Amino acid sequence: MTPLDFFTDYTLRNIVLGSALLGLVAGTLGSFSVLRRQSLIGDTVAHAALPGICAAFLLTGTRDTLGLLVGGGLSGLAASLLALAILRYSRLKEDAALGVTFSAFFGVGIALLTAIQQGGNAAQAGLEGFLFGQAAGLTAGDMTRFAVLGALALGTVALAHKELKVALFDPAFAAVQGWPVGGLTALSTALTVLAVMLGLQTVGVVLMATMLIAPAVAARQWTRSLGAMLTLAGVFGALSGGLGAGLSLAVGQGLPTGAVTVLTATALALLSLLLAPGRGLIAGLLHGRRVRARLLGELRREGP
Amino acid sequence: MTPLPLNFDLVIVVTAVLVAWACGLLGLFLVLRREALLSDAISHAALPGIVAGYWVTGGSLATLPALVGAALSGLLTVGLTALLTRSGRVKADAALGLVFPALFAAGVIAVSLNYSQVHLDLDAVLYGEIAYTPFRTGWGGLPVAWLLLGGMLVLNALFVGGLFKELRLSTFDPGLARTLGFSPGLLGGALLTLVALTTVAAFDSVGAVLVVAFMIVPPATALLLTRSLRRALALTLAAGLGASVLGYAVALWLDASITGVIAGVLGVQFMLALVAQAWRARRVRGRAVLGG
Repeated sequence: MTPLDFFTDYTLRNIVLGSALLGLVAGTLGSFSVLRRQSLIGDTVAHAALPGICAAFLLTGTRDTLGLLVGGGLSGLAASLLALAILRYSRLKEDAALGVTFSAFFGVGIALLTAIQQGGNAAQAGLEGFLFGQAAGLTAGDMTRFAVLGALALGTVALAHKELKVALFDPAFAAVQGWPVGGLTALSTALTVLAVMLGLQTVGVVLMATMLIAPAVAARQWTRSLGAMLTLAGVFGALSGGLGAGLSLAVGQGLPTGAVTVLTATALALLSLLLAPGRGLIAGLLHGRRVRARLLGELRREGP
Repeated sequence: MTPLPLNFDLVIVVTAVLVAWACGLLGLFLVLRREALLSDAISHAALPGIVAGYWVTGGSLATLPALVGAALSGLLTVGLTALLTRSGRVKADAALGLVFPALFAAGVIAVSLNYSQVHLDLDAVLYGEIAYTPFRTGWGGLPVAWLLLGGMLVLNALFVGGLFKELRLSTFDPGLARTLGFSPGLLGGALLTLVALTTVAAFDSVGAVLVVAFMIVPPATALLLTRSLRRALALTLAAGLGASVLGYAVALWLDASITGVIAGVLGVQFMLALVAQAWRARRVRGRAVLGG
C-alpha cells in the first residue's frame, strides 16, 4: 500500500477514517467512565448487549443490523443502569456491580443464543459474530452512521459540559444546586452505551473496551482540566484508530485491525504515562532527583 | 481404562458445584478487595499464554502446556496491573483495562501471523463446554474435570481455611496486618496466584463465562445479606450449589446452554437478595422513625 492508495481506495479510506471517527467518539466519552472509576463499563455493556441482540432477532426474525443494534443497545443500557442502581442501593463497589451485571446478562444471552440455534433458523448463522466485529467490513453507510450518532453524542457533551462536570466531581454540590445528579450520571452512561454500540459490530468487544480507556488514560497525564482532557482523549482516540487501522493495512499479512489498534492505543497511553510533563513517571523521577540534590546542597552549606 | 459408570447428570452437576465452590472461596476475598473483575481479565489475557504453550510444544494441541501458558499469562496480567497501579498515575480499574486487552491483542496477532493456517482451537480452551465433561475421563476413570477442579477446590479450601484470620485481617485492615508482622502483599499475591490457577483450570472444563460468574456473583449476593465474613462464606457456597442444581434442571427443561442458564440463575439470586436487602433497610429506617 502506498499513501496514494488512501485517497483512491474506497475500502481503505472507509476503514481508516471509520476507525478514527470511532476513536474520536469513544475516547472523548470514555473520559467520564475512567474518572468515575468505572473504566470497565465498556466491557460490561458490550457483553450485556448479547441478550438484546438475541431478543431482537427473535422478535424480528431477521439479521437486520439496525434492529439488532437497537436491541443490543437497550439491553446494554439496562445493564449499565442496573449497575448504577446496585451502587446506589448496596454497599457493593464498582467492580462487583459491573461484574455481576455483565456475567448475568451475558449468561442469559448465551442461553438465548443456544435456544435460537436449536430452533434451526438459518438466518441466525453468524449472530454471535456480531460481538467480535470485523473492521474490514466498514462501508460508507457505517461512516454516515458513525458521523451522525457521534456528532449527536459529542454535541450533547459540549452542551451539558458544565452540568456533567459538576455531577462528576462534586455530586453533593450539584444536588444542593438542585441539579438531577442521578439523571446526569445516567446521561453520561447512556452516551457511553451509544459509543460502545456504535463500534461493537465493526470492531468488537475488546477493542471497544480499550478505546474507552486508553485514550482517556493518556489524556489524563497531560492535563488537569476536564475540557482539555475530553478534547485530548478524542484526539488520542482518533489517532489510535486511524494509525492502528492504517498500520494493519500497511503491513498486510491479514493482521487484524482491531488488535493492532488496541496495541497502538496502549502504546500511546504508556508513552504518556512515561513522558508527560508534570505527571509523567520520568518527570517525577527527575523532579525527585532535583529536590534531593537541592536539599543535600543546602544541608552541606549549613553544615559545620 | 474403562470409565466408571457415572450418571451423566451427576457428572455435570458435581462439576458445576466444584467450580462454584473453588471460585466462590476466592471470589469472596476478590470482591472485598475490589478486584472482582480480575477473573474476567485473566480469561481474556490467557490467550497469548495459550499460543505460547502451543509454540513451545512445537504445535501440539495438548491441554497441559496450554494451561500452564494460560496460568503464566494470568500471573503476568496481575503483575502488570499491580505495577501500573503502584505508579500512582492510573487507578486500578483503568490499569486492568489497559493490560488485558493489550495481552489479548498480542495473542490475536500471534495467532494471525503464525497459525492462521492451523485451526488453533481457542474456543475449546476459552469457552469450554460443561456438557462434554462426562466424556473426558482420566485417572481412575474419573472425569478429568473432577480431578482438576477437585484439586483446586482442596487447595483453595486449605488456603482460605488455614489462613482465614490472616486473610480477614489483611483484607479489612492491611495497615494493621503489616504492623502485626503479617505480609499483606505476600498473602494478596498468593490469593491472586490461586485465582489465576483456578480461572484457567475451570475454563478448560466449563468455560470462562461460568468461571467469572461464579467468582463474582455468589460472593456479591452473600455480601448483600450479611456483614459477617464466616456467614458470607457459607452463603457463597450455598448460592453456588443452589444455582448449579437449579440452573442445570432449567437448562435441560429449556434445552439451552447449561453455562448460560446457571449464570442467569445466579443473576436472579442476586436480584432477589438486592430487593430483600433494600426492603429490610427501608423497614429498619421506618421503625427507627416510629421509635419502635
